[in-house]
Amino acid sequence: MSVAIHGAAQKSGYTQLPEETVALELDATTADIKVFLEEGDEIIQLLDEDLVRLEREPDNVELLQEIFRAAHTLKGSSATIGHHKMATLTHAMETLLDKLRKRAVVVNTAMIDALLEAVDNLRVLEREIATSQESGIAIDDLVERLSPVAVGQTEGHEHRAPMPECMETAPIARTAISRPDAFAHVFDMHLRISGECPLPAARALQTVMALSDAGQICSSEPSIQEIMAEQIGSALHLVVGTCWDQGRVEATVAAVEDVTLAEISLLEDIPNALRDIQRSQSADGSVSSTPGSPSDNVFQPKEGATKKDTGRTVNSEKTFRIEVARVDALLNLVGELVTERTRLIQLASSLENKYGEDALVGQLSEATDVVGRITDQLQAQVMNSRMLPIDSVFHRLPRAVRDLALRMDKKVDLIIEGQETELDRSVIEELGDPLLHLLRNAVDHGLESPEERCALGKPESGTIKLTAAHEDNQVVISITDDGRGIDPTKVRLSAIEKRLVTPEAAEKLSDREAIRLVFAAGLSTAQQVSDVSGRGVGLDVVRTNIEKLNGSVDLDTEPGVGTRFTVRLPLTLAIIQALFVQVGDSAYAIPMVSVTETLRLSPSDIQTVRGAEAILHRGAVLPLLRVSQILSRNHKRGRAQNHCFVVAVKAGSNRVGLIVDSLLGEQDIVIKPLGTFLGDVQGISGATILGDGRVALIIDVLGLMKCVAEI
Amino acid sequence: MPTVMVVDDAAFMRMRCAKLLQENGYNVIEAANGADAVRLYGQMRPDAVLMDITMPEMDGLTALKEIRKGDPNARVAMLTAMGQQSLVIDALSSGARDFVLKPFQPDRVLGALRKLIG
Repeated sequence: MSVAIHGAAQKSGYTQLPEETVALELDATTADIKVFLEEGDEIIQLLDEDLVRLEREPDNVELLQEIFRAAHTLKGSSATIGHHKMATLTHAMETLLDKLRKRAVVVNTAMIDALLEAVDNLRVLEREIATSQESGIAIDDLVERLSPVAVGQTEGHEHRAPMPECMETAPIARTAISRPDAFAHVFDMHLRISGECPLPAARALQTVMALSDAGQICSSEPSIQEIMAEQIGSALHLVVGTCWDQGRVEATVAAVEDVTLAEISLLEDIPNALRDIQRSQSADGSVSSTPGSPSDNVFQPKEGATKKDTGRTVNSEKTFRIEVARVDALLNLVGELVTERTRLIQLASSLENKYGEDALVGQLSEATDVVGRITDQLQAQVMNSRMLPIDSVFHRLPRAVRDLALRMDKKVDLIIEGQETELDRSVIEELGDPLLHLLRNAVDHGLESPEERCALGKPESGTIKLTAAHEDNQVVISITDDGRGIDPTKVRLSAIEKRLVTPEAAEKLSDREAIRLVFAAGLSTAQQVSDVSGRGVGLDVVRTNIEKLNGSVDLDTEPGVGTRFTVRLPLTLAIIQALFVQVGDSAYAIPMVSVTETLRLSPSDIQTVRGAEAILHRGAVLPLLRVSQILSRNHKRGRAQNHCFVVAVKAGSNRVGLIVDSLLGEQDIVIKPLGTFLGDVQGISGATILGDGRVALIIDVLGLMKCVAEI
Repeated sequence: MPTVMVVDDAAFMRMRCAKLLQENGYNVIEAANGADAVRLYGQMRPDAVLMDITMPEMDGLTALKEIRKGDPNARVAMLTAMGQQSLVIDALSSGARDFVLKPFQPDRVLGALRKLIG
């Protein structure tokens, strides 16, 4: 079969084909062809629809899969009936789709254009089969353009070669556009759009369109989508691949009103330049653009990715960097404001009690309410400004997992969901290491080797699913693998061997409790020590790190089926440091700013001064308050203790010692307002959530003292 | 002598524009709506088109697309008012080469035409 007919047939379109066609030889019976055509019609239609959808849903993995399958099927059957041109074209499509599927390239408009053009051509080729006559269309050019290298370099950029041929014959004629095999030059251009330009986005787009006539826009900052959405300032940065010389490129820009060329440079090393562009594009946190993912690592961002992309587009123009210390300082101040607000409200209500219907007091109360509301909003806003999508941690994990999998000779599909979930910056910063550790653990210990998996009848590639979601006031991150699971018996034995538990104690542990021993220091259940995760630094470090964040980590496992680690973290960490104490059944947080010291007393140290308990401390009388009596409604007086703890606090010049049952430790906490339905609880400034989900009330030291004074 | 088609539903605007262009050595064809523009373009094949966006019968965007269907090399510049940026963007991505803001400054129109035809 020859591809001899060019030119006229292409330009005139397939309506005039019969005059110039030659007979097509196929290796198929009429019945074969009938079946082929029935299926072919269906597939081509499906491709047509799905490719358009793909442009809108570039991250729809199932969709991509479907498209890939369609191209693949058509490739197979066209090769079978001996239609080489169709087989060649579908093969090119398949190759590109496979790259897409594996995230080696990213969907962009040029790519979809080329693919749709291919579909148009498939229609013509199918007609060849139906009529047994060659149409004479040339696909070589299109095949070349379908190569991932040709279309994969632009990330999400609108690019369309001009269409010099008559659009009425577009489906065929478009393929006839001759394109340079490679760009002679790649120009890096910084353009300025005049501040007086009334339609800057339109001018920017005009520039881009004019330059895309020259070849290909490899990179655009802001992106074409952003420009189309009218999100552009005065700067436009383009990288253009072209065979035009610099003079012609400059003249093209000069022809656009209001746009000036600030800087133009020739990028010498084209492949490297393009690689750099890709790298910078993937470094901005866009997981969906992970270039060069190896074939055995499929990364599948779910619905979150689109949302995030939109968010990034919207934000890019209106964000600026700010020193973390400044936000922290702001949050600190807001924290103090919150505390003072509580005091103010109490003051106002005291005044009301004292002076009744006094007009001035009324005004003060009103003003206090307003200040209170504003403070609430301010606090929420400041907290909000510290929130980052968890993606800023997640996006570096696929690569880590990939490298890990390669080193361990394992095949891993990493699925990430919920990367748009937001949480406090301070949490995010600390989250990377524990997550990486858990992922390492999953790849190294969780997943079996491909051979082992095959033997077990599991898919060769293990799946690790990393998800994040908000749940109440927490962020829940789970890492699930479909590996071998953890055998409680092995954990028991290992724990006994490492003398972490006695054999008797191990016996008594439930399976679940036994499994939790993996979090104990010094326990590694890996069959052999590997260089990845079996070096004594175990899950206990993960647990410690996560608990430091006020969070918790737990695991579920089923031998042979897999393991899931669940990390729960508070949404935010405020700047207020607190000392946690236990009183009765409740935990309380005492702001560290109020704490001067902690003492351990035996009951005999406590004296009674004028009917009130006090101790002599550092040469002065320190009045004591039993937190249990003031705050706890149903405290149990029982349990005579040999000793108790006193937290010496100060508020202004007043000092008291708060008697508590035990000291739980120090933590950074966020103050959560109690909410209006609880009203003002004297002595309590808010609440915080402990890592284990318990609520701890935050003691307002001054309020507590006042509260006592009133009693 | 290059021929320019001026498409605008406002007769006054057409007149002003035509006068300016004739004074500067262009042949002028006038069309009062998109449908006329598409028809006339096919018949006369002008060298360039100045196309208003908002028009009755057929708006400038549709006309642009229709014209470019018949002649992908059609050189069309849009005439636009302030606040129509999204329409202009639409037009540019549909193949318009340039745009001129209304009320237009004579040298801007002439400049755009020179680039369009030149």
